[in-house]
Amino acid sequence: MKLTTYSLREWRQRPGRALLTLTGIIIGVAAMVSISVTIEATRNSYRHMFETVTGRASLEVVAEGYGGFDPTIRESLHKLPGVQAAVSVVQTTSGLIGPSGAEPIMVLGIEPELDHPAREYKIRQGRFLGDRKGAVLSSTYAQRLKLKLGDSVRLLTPRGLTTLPIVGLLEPEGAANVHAGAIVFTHLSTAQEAFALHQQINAVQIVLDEKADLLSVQEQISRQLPPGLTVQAPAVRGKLAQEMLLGTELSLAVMSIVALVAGAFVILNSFLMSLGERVKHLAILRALGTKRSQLKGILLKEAALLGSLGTILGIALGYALSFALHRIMEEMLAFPVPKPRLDAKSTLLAAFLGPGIALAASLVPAWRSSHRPVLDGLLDNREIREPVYKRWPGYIGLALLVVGLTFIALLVTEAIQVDVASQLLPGCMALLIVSITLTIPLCIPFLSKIAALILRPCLGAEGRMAVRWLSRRPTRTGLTVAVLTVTLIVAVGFGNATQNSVRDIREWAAKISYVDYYIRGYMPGPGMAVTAALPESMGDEIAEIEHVEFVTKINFIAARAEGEPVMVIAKSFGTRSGQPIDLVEGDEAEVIEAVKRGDVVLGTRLSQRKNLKIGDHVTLETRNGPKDVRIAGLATEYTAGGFVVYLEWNRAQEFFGKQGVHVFGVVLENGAPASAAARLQTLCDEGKCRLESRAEFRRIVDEAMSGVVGTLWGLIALGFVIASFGIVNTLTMNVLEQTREIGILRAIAMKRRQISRMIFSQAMVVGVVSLIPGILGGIVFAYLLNVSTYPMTGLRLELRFEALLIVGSMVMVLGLSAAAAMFPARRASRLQVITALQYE
Amino acid sequence: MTENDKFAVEVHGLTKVFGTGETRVEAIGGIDLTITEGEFVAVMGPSGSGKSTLLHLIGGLDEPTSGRIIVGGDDFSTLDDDALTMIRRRRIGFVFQAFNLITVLTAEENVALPLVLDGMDEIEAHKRATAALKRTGLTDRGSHVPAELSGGEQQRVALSRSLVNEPLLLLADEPTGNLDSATSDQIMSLLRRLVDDQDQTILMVTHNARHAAMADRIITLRDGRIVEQQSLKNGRSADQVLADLESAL
Ligand SMILES: Nc1ncnc2c1ncn2[C@@H]1O[C@H](COP(=O)(O)OP(=O)(O)OP(=O)(O)O)[C@@H](O)[C@H]1O
Ligand SMILES: [Mg+2]
Repeated sequence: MKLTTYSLREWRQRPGRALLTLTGIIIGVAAMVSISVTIEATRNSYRHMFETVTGRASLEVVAEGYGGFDPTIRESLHKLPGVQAAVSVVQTTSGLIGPSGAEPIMVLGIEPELDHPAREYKIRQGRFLGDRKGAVLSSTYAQRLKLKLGDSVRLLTPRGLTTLPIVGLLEPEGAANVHAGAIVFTHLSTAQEAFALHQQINAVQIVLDEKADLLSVQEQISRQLPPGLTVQAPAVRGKLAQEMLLGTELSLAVMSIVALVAGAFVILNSFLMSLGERVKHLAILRALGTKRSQLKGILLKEAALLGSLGTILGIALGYALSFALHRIMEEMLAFPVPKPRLDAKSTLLAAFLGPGIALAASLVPAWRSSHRPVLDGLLDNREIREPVYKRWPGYIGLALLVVGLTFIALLVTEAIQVDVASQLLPGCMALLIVSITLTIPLCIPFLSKIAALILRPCLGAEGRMAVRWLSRRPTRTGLTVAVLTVTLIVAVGFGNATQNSVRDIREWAAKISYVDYYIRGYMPGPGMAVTAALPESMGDEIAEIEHVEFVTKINFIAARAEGEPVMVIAKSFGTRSGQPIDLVEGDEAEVIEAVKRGDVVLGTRLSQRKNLKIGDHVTLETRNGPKDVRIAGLATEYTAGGFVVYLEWNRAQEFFGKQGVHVFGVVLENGAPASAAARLQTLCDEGKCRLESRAEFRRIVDEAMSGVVGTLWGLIALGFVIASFGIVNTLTMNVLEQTREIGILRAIAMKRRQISRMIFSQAMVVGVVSLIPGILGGIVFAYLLNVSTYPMTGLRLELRFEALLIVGSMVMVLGLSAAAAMFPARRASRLQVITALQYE
Repeated sequence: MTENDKFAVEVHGLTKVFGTGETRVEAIGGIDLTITEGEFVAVMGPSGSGKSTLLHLIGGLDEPTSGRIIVGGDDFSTLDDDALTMIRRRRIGFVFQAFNLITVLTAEENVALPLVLDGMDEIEAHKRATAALKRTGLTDRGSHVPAELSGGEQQRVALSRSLVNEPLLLLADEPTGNLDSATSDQIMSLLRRLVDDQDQTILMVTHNARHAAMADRIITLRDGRIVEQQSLKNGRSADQVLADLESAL
C-alpha cells in the first residue's frame, strides 16, 4: 500500500466532496483559459490580418489617412540598401455583392509581374492576373458565395458598381487566406480605376533583404519620404481596432479573475470541509506516528493531484468555451476573428495557476489539520471544535480593502496615469474581492443577528436552531457567505455599470442619428466604422430626389493625432438644425460653425488620454505633413472606442485626399410623402447598397446592446450558480456533522418536515446574511465603477440604480439558497433514526 | 528489582490540569511511576480518576502540565513534535477501546500503515503486516475493511497494527471495553502471551478486575493519584488479588 492509496480511498468514500473541489478548480481554470485564449485570438486578429496581406513585406509606406499618392516614390525605395523589393499596391476595403447584399471584402490591386517578392499565389483553377481586367479570389471564399470560374464579382467602389470576371481561383494559402478568404486580387490599374485613384497607389510594400535590420531600414526610408508619407509595420493598421478592444478585454480579464478567485474560495471551502470530515482519520494517522510535515505533505499532495486533474479538465473545458466566446466576439465585432488556437501562454499560465490555487487554498486547511491536538480527533466524547476563529484575517482583509479603495480614489482624482491605472485595474478588483471575502467573517455575528430578526416571524424555532448551528462553524459559514456576497457585489456592481453605459450608448445613438435615412455599403461592426466607399456622385443623385432636404456625407478615416491612432470622422454639415455630434462641452451652434471653419471636435476618450481641452490645438498627421488644428468641442463618442476626431468634409479631403463616401445621411423635408423613401430605396437597389431608416439604425444599436445585456445576465447567472455550489457544500457538511443530533431530534419526536425546515432555514439564513453586505457592497461597487469611468474614458455617465437588477439579484440569491437546500434537506429528513444515532 | 532491569517507562512528578478558573480539573495530581521492560502493568480506578489521561501522556499524545516522562531513555520534555512523533511511530503501540481503525483501508493496510509511514517499501510492509495479523490469529481477514469485521476482529487488527513496529511499549486503554466476555478473554490471553513469549512491556487500563489480575502489577488511581500498587509476580492467586481489589475500591 502507498500513502496515495489512502488518499484515493478517502476520495472514493466521498466522491461528492472531491467532485466539488474539482468543480471549483475546473470553473476557475476554464474561465481563465477561455477568456485569455479568446482575447489572444481577437487581439491578434487585426494584426494578423494586415500582416498576412502584406506577406513577406515587413514594412509599408502609406499616406497619412491611407489616401492615394504618386507611385514614383517606389523607384527610389527599391534601390535602398537592405531593401530586396518594393511593390506598389492598392489595398482597400470594399463590399462584394453576395446573395444577401454587400459583404465586407478586402481588395488588393497588384502588379502581377512585380508582386512575387511579397506574396506567392497558388492557382487552383483558371489562371493568374495576366491582362488588365479580371479578379482572382480564394477558392474557399468563392465556394461559400457559390461563385465559379467565369462568373463575375461585383464590387462597391467610389465609381459605383464595378464588375470583374473571375479569371482564377487560389488555394486558400497565405494572403488568399486572410479575413476568412474575403479578399479579391486584381490588377493594380484595375483597382486604381475602380477606386478612383487616378494612377495613384495607396501603399508601397517593402520586402527586406534577409540580413537587413528592420529598424535601420525603416529609419532610412523615413528620411527619404516627403511629408505626408509614412513608413510603418503593417500591423500598425490594426492598432486602433486593438485600442478599441481594450475596454472589452479589460472587463473580460476582470471577469476571469473574479472566476478564479471565486473558484479558489470554493476549493478552500470544500477542502476545509473534507478535512473536517476526516478529523478522526487524520488523528489516527498522527497517533500512529505521522509527522506534522508528513501529514501536510499527504494533504497537499491530494490538493496538487486534484488541482492537476481539475486543471486538465478546466483547460479542456476552457478551450471548448472559447469557441462559444469566439462566436460572441465575432458577433460583437462583426469581423472574422481567427478561431481560437492552442495558445501556449494561456495554457502554461493555467497549468501553473490551477494546481497553484488548489495548493494555496489547501495550505490553511492542511496546516490546521496537522496542528490540531491529536486527542481532539481521537476521542469520541470530545467535541471537535474548529479552532477559535481568528480575527487577524479579517483585519488583513480590512487593510487590503483600504488599499483597494485608495487605489480607486487615486484613479478618480486622476493622481495616477490612466495607462497605469488600466493595467492595474483587474488586479485591484481581485484585491477588493479578496479583501471583502476576508472581512465578511468579521461581520458574521452581527449579520446573523439581523438575519435572525428578519427571519424569526417566518421560520420560528427552526430558524433559531439554524442560526445556532451556523454560528457553531464560523469559518465555514463565513466563507460561504463571503462567496455569495462577492458574487452579489460583482453582479450588482458590474450589472449596474453595464446597464448605465448601455443606456448611455442608446442615448448617444439616438442623438447622433438625427437624419431620416442612412445609405451605406453594409453595416460595419459596432465600433469599427470601416465600410465600403460609395461614389461621391451618388450624393447629388440623392439630393435631386424630390423632398430630400439635405444630404450629408460621412467618412471614417484611420489617421494619427498626437502620435496616437485615431478615427477621423469627416462630415459635411448642412443648414438644418439637429445635432450630428453628441457634445459634452461647448455650445452646439458655435461648435458647428467652428468646425465648418476647420476646427475639430474630439471624442472624450482621446481628449482624456491626451489631456486636451477646448481651445487647445491638436496635431493631425496629414498627407501634407503635420497640421495643428484648434479644438472647438468635446463629444461623447462610442465609435472606435472614442478615439475620434470630427472634421469638416472639405477639410478632411484636403488633409487625407478623396476616398469616396462611406455613409450618406439623408434628411427629408417635413411631411415628405412615402414616395421619397421609395425613390431612395430604388436608388439603393440599383447601387446595391443599404438603405436604413433612423428607426432601423437605432434598432441595430438596440439589438447589439441587448446582446451585451443578455451576455451580462448569463454571466451573472453563472456566477450565482457557482456560489450556490458553496451553499450546497456547507449545508451537506452541516447535515453530515449533525447526523447524530438529527437522530436524537428525530428520536425525541421531531417530524421529517421539521428537520427539512431546519436545513432549509440554514440556507435562508446564509442567503439573507449575504444579501445585506452584498447589495450594499454592490451599490458601492457600482458607484466606484461609475466614478472611475471618467478618468478612463472621459465620459461622465449618469449613475442610475437599476431596480430590476438589484431586486432580481436578491430574488436570485434567495431562490438559489432555497434550491441549494433541497438535496441536503432531503438527505437529513430521510435519515433512519437508528443509523443516525450510531453515526460517527 | 535488579540492577540489570532496564526501565521502559519512568514518570516523575507528573501532573495534568485541564481548563482554568471554574472549569479547572486536575486530572493527574502528581504521579511517580516506573515500568521495567517486559513488565505487564494494569491501571484501574473509578471513572474520571485519570487513567486515560495518564496513558495519553505516556503515549506522547498530550502534554503534561508538569513532571517528566521518560520512555526508553528519551525524556519527552526535551523533544519537539517531530521527535515525539518518531517515538510514537517506532517505540509505542496504541490500542484504544474504540479500535480507531481507518475505515477506508483494509485490515492489512491498516496494519501496514505505521511501516508505510516510516518509509518501508510496500512488499516488505505487506509481509510484516500479514505476519502481525497471523500472530493475533487473523489470517484470512486481511483484505476486509473494518466495517466487514466483528468487534473482536477489529480489535485484533488494532493490536496487530500496534505491534507491527515491534514497539518498546504497548499502551492499551480499555482494549476489551467494547467486546463481549469471551472475545475479551481471547484478547487478554493474547496480551499475556506477548509478555511471556516476547517480553513485551504493556501498560493497560481496564475496569475488569479479572483482566487486571492477568497483569504483573496493578496500579489503582483515584483523583489523579496512585492510591495503591500491588505486585502479582509473587504468585498470589487471582482470587486473592480480586479480594484485595474489592476492599481497595
Ligand atoms: N480535554 C479535557 N478537558 C477537560 N477535562 C478533561 C479533559 N480530558 C479529561 N478531563 C477530565 O479529567 C479527568 C480524568 O479523565 P480521564 O478520561 O483520564 O478519566 P478515566 O479515568 O479514563 O475515566 P473513565 O474510566 O471513565 O474512562 C476527568 O475528570 C475528566 O473530566
Ligand atoms: Mg478513560
